[in-house]
Formats: sequence, C-alpha cells, structure tokens
Amino acid sequence: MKMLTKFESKSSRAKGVAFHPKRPWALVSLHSSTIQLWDYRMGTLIDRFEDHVGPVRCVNFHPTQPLFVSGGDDYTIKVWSLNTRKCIFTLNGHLDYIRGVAFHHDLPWIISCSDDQTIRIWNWQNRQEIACLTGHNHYVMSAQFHPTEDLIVSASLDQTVRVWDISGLRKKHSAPTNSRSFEDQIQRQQLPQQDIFGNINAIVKYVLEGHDKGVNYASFHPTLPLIVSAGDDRVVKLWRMSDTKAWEVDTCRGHTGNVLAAIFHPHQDIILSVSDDKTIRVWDLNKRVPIKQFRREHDRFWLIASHPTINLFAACHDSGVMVFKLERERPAYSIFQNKLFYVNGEKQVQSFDFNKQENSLPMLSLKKIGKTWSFMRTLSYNQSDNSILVVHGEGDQSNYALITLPKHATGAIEPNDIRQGEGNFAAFISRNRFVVFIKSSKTLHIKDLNNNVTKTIQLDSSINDVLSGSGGRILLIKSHSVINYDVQQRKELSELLVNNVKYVSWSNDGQYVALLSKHTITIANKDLELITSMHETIRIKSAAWDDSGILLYSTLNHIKYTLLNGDNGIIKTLENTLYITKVQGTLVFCLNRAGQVEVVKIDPTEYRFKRALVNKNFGEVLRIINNSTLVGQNIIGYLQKKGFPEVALHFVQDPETRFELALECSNLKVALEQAQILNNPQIWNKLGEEALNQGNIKIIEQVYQQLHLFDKLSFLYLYKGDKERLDKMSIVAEHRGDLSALVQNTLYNNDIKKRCQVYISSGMLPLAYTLAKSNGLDEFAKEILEQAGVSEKDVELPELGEAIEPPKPIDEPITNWPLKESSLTYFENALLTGKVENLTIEDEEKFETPEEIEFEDEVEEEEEGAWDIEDVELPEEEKVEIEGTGITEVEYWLRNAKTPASYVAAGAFEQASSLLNKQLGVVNFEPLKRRFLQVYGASKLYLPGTDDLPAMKDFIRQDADEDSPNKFEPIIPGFESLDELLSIGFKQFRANNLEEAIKTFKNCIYTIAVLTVEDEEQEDKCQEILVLCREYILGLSTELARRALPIDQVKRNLELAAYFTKCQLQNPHKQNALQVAMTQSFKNKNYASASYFAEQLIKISNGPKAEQAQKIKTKADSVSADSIEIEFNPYADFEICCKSYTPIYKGESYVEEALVGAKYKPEYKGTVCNITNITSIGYPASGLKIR
Amino acid sequence: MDIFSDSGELYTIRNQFHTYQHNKVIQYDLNSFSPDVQLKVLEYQIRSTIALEQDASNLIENGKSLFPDSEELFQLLSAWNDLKDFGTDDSTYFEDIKEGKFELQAILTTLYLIKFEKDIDQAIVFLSSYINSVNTLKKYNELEPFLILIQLYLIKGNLKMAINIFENLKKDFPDSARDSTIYQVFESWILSIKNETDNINNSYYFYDEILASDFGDDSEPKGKFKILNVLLVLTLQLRHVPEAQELIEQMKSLNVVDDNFIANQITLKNILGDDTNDLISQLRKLNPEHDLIKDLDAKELIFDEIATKYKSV
Repeated sequence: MKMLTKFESKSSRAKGVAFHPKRPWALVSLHSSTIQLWDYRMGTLIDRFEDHVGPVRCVNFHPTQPLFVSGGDDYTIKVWSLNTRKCIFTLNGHLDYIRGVAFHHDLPWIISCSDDQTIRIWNWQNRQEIACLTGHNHYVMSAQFHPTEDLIVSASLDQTVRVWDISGLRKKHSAPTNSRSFEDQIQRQQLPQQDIFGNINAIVKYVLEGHDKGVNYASFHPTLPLIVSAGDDRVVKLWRMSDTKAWEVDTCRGHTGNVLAAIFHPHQDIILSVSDDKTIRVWDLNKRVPIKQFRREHDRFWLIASHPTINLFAACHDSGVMVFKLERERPAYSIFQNKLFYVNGEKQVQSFDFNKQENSLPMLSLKKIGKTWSFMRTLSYNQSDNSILVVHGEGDQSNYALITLPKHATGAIEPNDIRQGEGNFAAFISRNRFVVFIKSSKTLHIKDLNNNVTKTIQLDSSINDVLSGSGGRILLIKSHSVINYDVQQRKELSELLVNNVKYVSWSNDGQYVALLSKHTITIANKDLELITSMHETIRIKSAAWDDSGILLYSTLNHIKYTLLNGDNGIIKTLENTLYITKVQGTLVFCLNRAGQVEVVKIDPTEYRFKRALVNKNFGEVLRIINNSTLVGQNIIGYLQKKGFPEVALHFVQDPETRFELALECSNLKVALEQAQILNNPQIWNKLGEEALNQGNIKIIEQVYQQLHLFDKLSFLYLYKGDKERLDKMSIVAEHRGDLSALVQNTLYNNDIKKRCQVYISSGMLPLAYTLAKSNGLDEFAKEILEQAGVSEKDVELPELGEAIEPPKPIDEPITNWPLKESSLTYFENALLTGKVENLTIEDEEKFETPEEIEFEDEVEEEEEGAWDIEDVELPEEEKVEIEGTGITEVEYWLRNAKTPASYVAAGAFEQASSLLNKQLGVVNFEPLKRRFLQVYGASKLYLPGTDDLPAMKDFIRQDADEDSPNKFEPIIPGFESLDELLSIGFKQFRANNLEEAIKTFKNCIYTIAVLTVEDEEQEDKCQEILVLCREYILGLSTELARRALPIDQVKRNLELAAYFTKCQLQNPHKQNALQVAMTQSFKNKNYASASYFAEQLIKISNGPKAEQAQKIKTKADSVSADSIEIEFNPYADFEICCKSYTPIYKGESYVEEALVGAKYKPEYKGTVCNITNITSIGYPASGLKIR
Repeated sequence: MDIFSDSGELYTIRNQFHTYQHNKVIQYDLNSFSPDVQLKVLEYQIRSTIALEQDASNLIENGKSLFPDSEELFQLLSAWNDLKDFGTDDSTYFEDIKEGKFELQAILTTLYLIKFEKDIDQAIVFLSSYINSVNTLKKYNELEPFLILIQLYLIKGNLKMAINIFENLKKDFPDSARDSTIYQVFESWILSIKNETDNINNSYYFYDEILASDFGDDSEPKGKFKILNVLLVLTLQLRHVPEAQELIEQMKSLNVVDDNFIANQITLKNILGDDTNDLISQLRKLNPEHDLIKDLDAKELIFDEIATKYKSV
C-alpha cells in the first residue's frame, strides 16, 4: 500500500476539511478563523471566507446545492453561497463552541454538535432549529447523519457513542400523518426528546460504552451496519448494530496519542484513523490489524475526511491539509492483438475483445498473490504459452508473479503454478523470456518461463526504473533521461533527455513512442529521437496511439489528442478519470478506476482534419469539410494560424468572423455580404479600406453610400469621370442643404450656374456676378446685377481671361482597377466549383490515389471492349494455395538496390558490373573478383534443419530492425574494416614492404568501389580514403620506379625522388620521402635541392632526423647550387602523371580517372589506371555512388 | 487423449527426438512405456540409432518379433538402415514406392528422394500428395510431414509457400498442436527467414532454452552441436559478431564435422573480410554438393565471363 499525495496546503492549524462532491475543491477551516476554498487538482487557493470570529472547527458542502456550512468557536453556524461567495445567514442557538456541522443527504437539514452538550438539527430553508437532542453529559465532539437511514451517530467526551433514531423528526417534517392513537401519545409522554406538542424528535437508540476516555469521533459505514469510533484512550473501536442492539466488535490498538478521528474507506474494507501522535493509520476492517502507517514529522493530525465518490482522503494537521489517495488506481493491463487483458476491481484477470466489444468471464483470481492489500501494478501477456506476468507491491516489497492463464474463462479460479520473485518491473521480451528489474540492486535478470535466470545484467546505479520497449528492447529510466536498451546485445542504443518518465506508450507499428511524465508528454521515434514534447497543467494519466499516428491521451479530466507536430486539442471532457488502452476508429477503449472497460465514442473529425491539413492531404480536408460539421473557434483559429483562412471561411456561420476571414483572404464578395448583414459603420469602414486597396470601385462606392460619405463619394465620381453621378451628388447636396458640399460638387462638374445660385442664395452677389460674368453667362450676370440693384458700371472687374475648362475624363468612366488574374487556391476552387460535392467517405481511397483508379478504369475498358470473355466459374476451394515463391529476400534486395554493391550482394553481377562500368569506368574486373565474392557471400546463411536434408537458405540484412520491405537490404561488409586496412598499409610502408603496401591500398579502393554506406559522413570518409590511397599508391609506385632505375640515370633518379615528396602523405611517411630526396640530392651534389628538402624535413620532424637534416642543410647551403638540372620546381604548381611520373603543370591538359581522381597526360586516355588497376582513364563516368 | 500432448507419454521422447537428443531416446527402456505406445517408441529409437550412425538391425529384428503385425514398418526401417549403411546398392525399396502409405514411409521416402535422387520438386509433390490423402483427424498427430515439407520449400527459398502451409496449419489444427516441439521448430525456421530482430530473437530464445534445459552436460555432443549450429545462424543474422566467434570456438571443441558449420563460418569470414580459401576447400572436400560451393562456382563463372566481356571491349 502506498500513499500518493496529491495536494498539500501550507497554513496555520487546520481543524476541518470537506470535499466538494463534484468539483476538485476542498474547504479547509482553520484555527485562525479563516475558511479556505482550494482547488486541489490545480493546487490553487480559490477563495477565503472570513466572517467567523475565532477558530472554525468544521465545514461541510451541500451534496447538490451550491452551499456550504461552517461552525465556529463563536457559537454560530454559518451557511454560505458558493455562487456569491458570501455568508447567506447565520444560525444561532448553541451556547458553546461548535464541533461539527453537516448537511443531510436529502432533507433540507443541518446537524450540529457543540460543547454545550447538545446536538441540534436545523432546517436551512426556513432557517429554524427543528430539534435539540440532549443526553450527552459532556462536549459532543462529533455528530453525523446516517448516509441512508434516519439515524445519527454522535461521540462525546462523556466516553460514550450514541446512536439516535430520528425517524420521528422526518415524519413530523414530511406530509401530515394520521392522528396518533391514545396509547402512542401516552407512550411518547414518557420520552424526553419531545417538543411542546408531545412529538418525539429523536430517541437514543443505543448508547455505546467501551472507551475509557472521551470519544472524539464516530462515523457510520457507508453500507454496512457498522460504526467506527476514535477516543482519547488511544484506540479505535469497531461497533456493529442490528435492529435491536449494538455491540462492540473489536479494538484497534497502536496509536500512541489521542485518536482524533476514524472513518471507513468508502469502497474497501479499510479503516483510516488520525491521531495527535502524528500518524495516519490504516487498519484492516476484517482482521482489525494495522496495514500501514504514515507519519508526519512535526504535525499532529486533527481530522480525516473521505471524498464521497473518488478514492481521495483529506487530513487536517498542524500546518495545513494534505489530500492523498491510498494506492494507485491505474488498472494493470496488456494488449495482445484484439484482446485486452486486465485486472478488474476484484483483483481478477479478465479479457475484453475489442472487435466484439465483449468482456470475458473472470479467468483468474490474483487475491492470493502478494499481500492482501498489494496492488497489481502492471501486467504483461505472453501469447505463446498464454501466461501473464504481474508486478505488485511497492519499493523493496515489490514482486512479480508469472502465472499461466486457464485455457477457457469459466470464472475466477485460483492460480496453481505461480512462479514469482522480487522485481520492480517485469515484462516479456520474447515468447519465452522475460526481463525483471530489481531496483535495490539495479540488476536486470533475463528469465525463462521456468523462472530460471538465463542472464544477469548489472545496470548503472542511476537507473531508477525500467519500462517496456519495442522488439526485445527495454527502456531504462533515469531521472533526466531514457535509454533504449538492447537486452540481447547488452547495449545502450540511444538516449533521450527527458525528465521523470513514468509510463510509456508505443504506437501500434512500433515506430513512435510517447513517454509520459506527470505533466509532460514527449514523443520520439523508435530510436528515441525527439519529435515533439508538450506540457499539460493537469496530470497526464495515459496514452494510446491510433492507427494513423495520432496520440490520444487522457489527463485527470480530459481525453485529448496530439499530432506528431505537437498540434493538440481536447476531444472530450471526462467525469471520471479513464486510462486509454486502445483507439479504434471512433472508439476509445478505456479502463476506469474500478477496473472496468469503458468504451468512449469520440468524434475524431477534428484531429483527422488537422492531420490531413498538416500532411497537405487536401483531398481528405475537403472530404471532411463536406461531410462533417466541424465548427468552433478552435478549428477556425487553427486554420487561420496554419495559413488557410479560405478553408476556415467555409465553416464559419457567424457574420463577424466570416467578415474578418473574408478580409484576410481578400474575398471582397463574401466580406460585402457579411457587411450588409452586420451593417455597422466600423465594418463598412474596414471593407472600404480593403476595397480601396484592391481598387474595387464598385464596393468603395457602395461603402461610401452606405456611410453617407458624400464628399468622398463625389471625389470618387470625379476621378472616375462619372458626370452623371456627379450631377446627382449636387442634387443630393442641395437636398441636404449642405452648401459647402454643393459648391464643391459644382466645382467638380463645372456647373457654374448652380454655383452662382448658391452664392446668390447665400447673399454673396458680388461673387455670383463675377463668376457668371467671367464664365460668359452675361444674361445671368445681368439678372444678378438687377437683383443687387446695381448697374454694370458700378462694378469694376479685373481683366477676365478664358473660362476654365474642368479636366475631362480620358475615356469611359473608370471601372474597378484591373487585378492580376490569380489562380484560386485548391480549396477555393473546390469550394467554389462544388467539385467536392460528389465526394463521400466511401470515395476516400479513390480520391487519394486517382492514378490507381484511372489505371483500373483502363483495364476494365480494355477488357470489356477488346475481349469478349465469358464468365468462367472457378471451382470453389477452401484454401487457394497458389504455387509461387512470392517475393524472395533476394528479390527485395534487388528491388531496393541502389548501389553496385547491393546488386553484387543480391547476386546480380551483370547489373553491378554494368553500373561500375558506367559510374567509374571499370573495365578490368579481375581484381574485383575477390571483393565481389566476399560481398555476395557475406549475406548468405545456411540454416540447418532436419538431418539428411540440405540447409535452408537464410539471409543477413543490413538492418535487422527494419520492418519496411522497401528498405530490406543485404549486409555489405567492408566499411568497418577500412581503418584496419589502412593501418596495415601504413605498417607495410614503414617496413619498407612497398609492393605489399600498394596491394593493401588497392584493396581499400576495391572495398570502397563495391560498398554501400549509410550516410553522408561515411560517404565523405570513403572519398577521403580514396584520395589517400591514390596518393600513397602514386608515391610508392614512384619510389619503386626510382629504385628500379639503372645507376647511371641520376637525373631521373633525382626527379622521381623529388616527385615522391609531392605526394600527400601523412607526416611520418612524408619524412621518409623527404629523406630519400634529400640524401639523393646531397649525394649527387644537387645542394640547392638538398637544402630545400632538408628545410621541408625540418619543418615536420624533430629529434635525430631533424638534426641530420639541419647538418645537411648547413652544408648544402654553403654551396647552394645544383650540379644536375632536374625537372622539378618546388615552387611551381603541378600534379604528377600517374603513368609517366612526370609533372603536369597547371594549365596543361590532362585526363582523369573517375574512381580516385588520378591524373594522366592525355596520351594515356583509354588505358587502365595505374593506381586502381580497374578503371579506364578518361572514361566518361558519372562518379562513385555508394549511398 | 493425444499421446503426444504435454500430458501424453510420448511428449518427452518426441521432443527429444526432434531436438537431436538421440542418445536420450535410445536409452529408454521400452517396457517403461505402456503397450499402446511401445511401437512408436521403438520407431523413434530405431531412427535415433540410425541418426547416430549406428547399426539398428538388431533393434529392427527385435521389433519384428515384438510387433509381428507391423511388418511394413520394420521393412521400411530396415530399408532405411541399409540405405544408411550400404547406400543404394541392392535395395529398390524406396524406388518402388510411388505413394506414401503411412507417415514414416512418406517421410523417409521423401528424404531418400532428396538425398539420392536429388530431386526436391519430386519430393515436394510426393509429400504433398501424401499429406492431402490423409484424413484430417489422423493428420493432427502427424506433424512431421509438414516439418519436412516446410523445410523443402525453405531449401528452395520459397518462404511464401512455407508460410502458406504454416498458416493453413494454424487454422486447421487444434491449438494443442502448438505445444508440440515440431511446431515450434518449423515456426523458428520461418521466423528466422522472415528476418527482423523480433522474429530472430524469438527463434533464438527457443533454441537457447533447449540448449539450457536439455544440453547442460556434454552427453549429447552431436545434438548440442546441432543446436549451436542453429544459434550460430541466428547470431549472425543479428550481426552479433563477437558472440558468433565465441559460438564457433565452442562448436569446434565438440569435434563434429559439419558442412553447414563450415559454410556459415565462411560467411562470417566474408563479413570480416578475412581469407576464406581454406574453409572453402575444406567444404569442397567434405560436400562438393553444398549449396555454397555450387553457388560459388556458378557465381565465379558468371564473374569470369563478365571480366572477359569488358576486357575485350
């Protein structure tokens, strides 16, 4: 048994605590007068209530209404509203501290008990005290209603527990009853608990005596006729009642201080008690023996309460409250094919068929495995011998048991062959092996089914736990990382940094893994390469993959999903926590905490939609759009975020959002429609701006009209050149009496007369006259003069020029600005053309693979058109066994072959040689024979079977973990041995075994020519080695040629020695070359050259070699001239022809070879390369391909 | 009750026979078995004796007198024994068999067809027709023909047919068949040839378990060698080279000469890039008909042709 602490508050002394029946809330009343309301799931303080004066000893939530009640040392009972968070009213009556308060489960009653030695019952609806129960002759420390019957149990410092019958009170407060008989009334008069009318409220049914000191707490069992009590005599007592009597059953001894409270576990046969000895103790109800105790260092416990439905307890102590549960509630399970094997609430193994959605009968009872209260933590199933492996218990007490399941489920039978042992983790890793991890010694045992250890592995001390891996592997869990471990090879394959992983979920195809920590999910691939990771504020409980690579996971109160890119969302809110075991289409198969299978139906549309969008599977997206009702801000926000506003537009009904989305995807048509619906100036304004940006004059006009922006409208007509409308605008302006606008309009449309009229009407006659006159409206001018009562002579006008002509539109009235034709997006197109209309879910496949369909159609047509084949009835056979080999391993290899080497391994020597010829110009194949046969032979195995028969053909793959047939490839050996080959070559070089060294370097080249490598890094390395081999072979061949010269060819000798030094050798080897060149030069009196080589040698050597070189240099420098002129200029840029061993200077023409890049003088074109001995010089080859 | 089931009397001896524990098989006292199964026990003992390359004529003679009604069976065993001792010299027993009448006859004739006639295709036809002619109920007890048939297909490299037979068998046979070692043996082959780490590991553990439980001592060096020989293949498939080298050392110490062992060593040498000439000549000497040699010769021929072709261009 284990205490799992879910929440701890830090405060002053807590005296009372209560759980909310539905929400994750707890009320805590403090000695300091405060009542706190906590969300224990989130760990946040929701509110504080401070109306009481002095300590508050008790609180209680109403089971259904948003109310709670509290009682304090101020003698008052307060009833509070959870909605307003205020005290609604106060119940007064008690004459001393209130010790306990509680609501009745169905009647509108509150019970309270007090140091005034009474228990009172109140009706909180009419706020009246309806009964006062007297009888205790000391403080009443606790009182509570029976959960179903009309009973009360109370505990008092008078050393008694009393059970009261309150059926009378219920009768009185329910419907009126028949008048009582005379006898009844007489009888009732004898009883003390009656009101002034002789009604009996409550009678003491039993007085339970047995405690030697005051009793602090008594409570009923939720279903059985049992009472548990806790007293200052340090004991917990169990009592039983019948209809007529009650008696003490037993005493639980162990507490070393006063026991302040004791309650029954709501579901299990357990008693919990708290004491000021700083312990919480757990007792076995049936045996009355202690099971476990939990100690706090400094805090005395005051009260313990249980949650009405969930497996949660709260205990008050000196520095706050702790909320905890006893034991895990995650049912152990394992999935094999279509079956779920799980441990149910009765500790029995049961199976569930996912296809039939049917539970089997229980098959096996695990009650006798381990200790009575030990919990089955994990279950692993082995199909090959139909057995299970369970792990139970905690810490050092953790054990595993291997049990064979009965062949048929006929009810929970007791297991008979239990093989068990110590282990904190145990799971099958193959059909007849399982692995066990013992935490205390950090060892891993591989065991066979007889429970014998076949292998022991000592693990690193930092390993905390082990979890299931895929394919014979396990995951080693460290505090900050997870390691993928191959048990067979004892090898750590990879490691991923992630904190405190507790559970793991592998995808159905084993490609992905979700690592679950308390608040984090980390998704990685099977090689533990991080894909994504996410954080959840609510605890993560479980996870399972659906078939399409989406992870569904459950938190305490939600089922959620996540895509591989980390996009996630909520699928469903849960009433009770569920553990997801499998996802199949729209069904999520879960286990609840009672160990029952619950099938939850979900709507996977949202995540399928998102996945389709992310994977750019637009066909699927469209299909979903057309067939599903996918709505909600969430999805719209998602679409906007992902850059698909046009898709979002399709979903949205709400005009405002539609309008915004339409603007975002520049769909003015839709925006206009929505604006008309919304008809709000702000919206119109926005539309106007966007329309202006796009140059959509029609909509701008509409917007201006709508908004009565006449000035802008006039201006719009002006630049549009729409005379007609401008005139109308004048009329409109006139109507509105807006003279300023009118003048403006007359300016735009050059309506002089109108303008004059405006001036006139405004009394601005001089201006009107001037305007008329200047525009040649002489008669009108005259009229104005007359109106003004002046003659023409009186007016002195400046010299007038020509009337100004207003600008004329160039052409027809301007229409909308031409926009570049843009193609519609995939979605717009589909949504506009309605192409999607015909799609249905059934068409899914067709839509995704149109080519296939076409192909099928063609075939059909052909068959029907060209051939007239009658239907032939095939004889029905039970099993159709088609003779044929299927695809053999080698055929897979051929199909997947990319390099010459893979063709060689598959035995296709012709293809391989043809490739080598084209890629590298190989013409001389003989030297490659050994390599060909080696590569071919390395992947073939001979599996012996029955005696007298030949062996079976078996194969070695490059990667045995690969499960995709498109990647089956043969093992191609050689890359690993390259380094070794090189070092052999160097050794031979040093030993002056030059011919052998050349052979070795050539071998290296042949290995690489027929090789497949995994990655770029390896490929680069091969390229480097090829160059290195070329340089060594060239250098050594030069040196061999030099050594083969007759003595008299001094000049050539010196030249070859000099060329040897030009080869790119490693320093120790270069020293050899320089030494040869130096001594040869010196000996032959080519002092200048000798000095040069000596200088080069000094640069890269030390010790005796450098000293000798220094000496030679000094001597040579004293002469500093060459006696024989050789063709070698150390300062010139040149390469050496690999055949003639003569320089090819920069700028001179040369031909190259394709494998190692050896250079030759042009005359050697078409001959076989000296370095490789296999390739043709100057052959038009495409280059090495080994990946 | 099925005498081969795990509670039947023949369960252990059959397992031992099929896991090469021939010494254990022949050591049983015939009388310790109930009369019903004694004939079958004797049959195993005779076959084990022959497999150990010992002469079984005495046993066969004894059998004839003990079980006068089973003349046919002893004729067959005697022919098989002679075949092993003297080759195909005089007897035409197997040549004359055109169709198998009972299980062992079908099996041994098939083996004969392979070994002496070298005709796998004919062997397959022969064995299949026997299997098809047997009624279903009897078939449940006769898994061995399937074992041979599956191996024949696998020798031909036809994994698909092997799996086909295996899957049909799984469908048709009662679940109890899966407890049989024979079943597990051919399953282990198929797993290995299917490749992929999980499959290979499963197969590996099957043999590892036999090795641990039945070959603790060295009383069956030949049997142990055979198990190790399979484990070597599986280890190489997993590319666990150092482990394979260890196995080879262990196998060498058992002093058993075996062509497949040499062939698989050649494969390992190829992986390591080591010289294989010695081993190839050893194998050529021991069994010039071995697939590796035949394959190698064919490939060399092809290669030489290619080399000549390109040289002449």
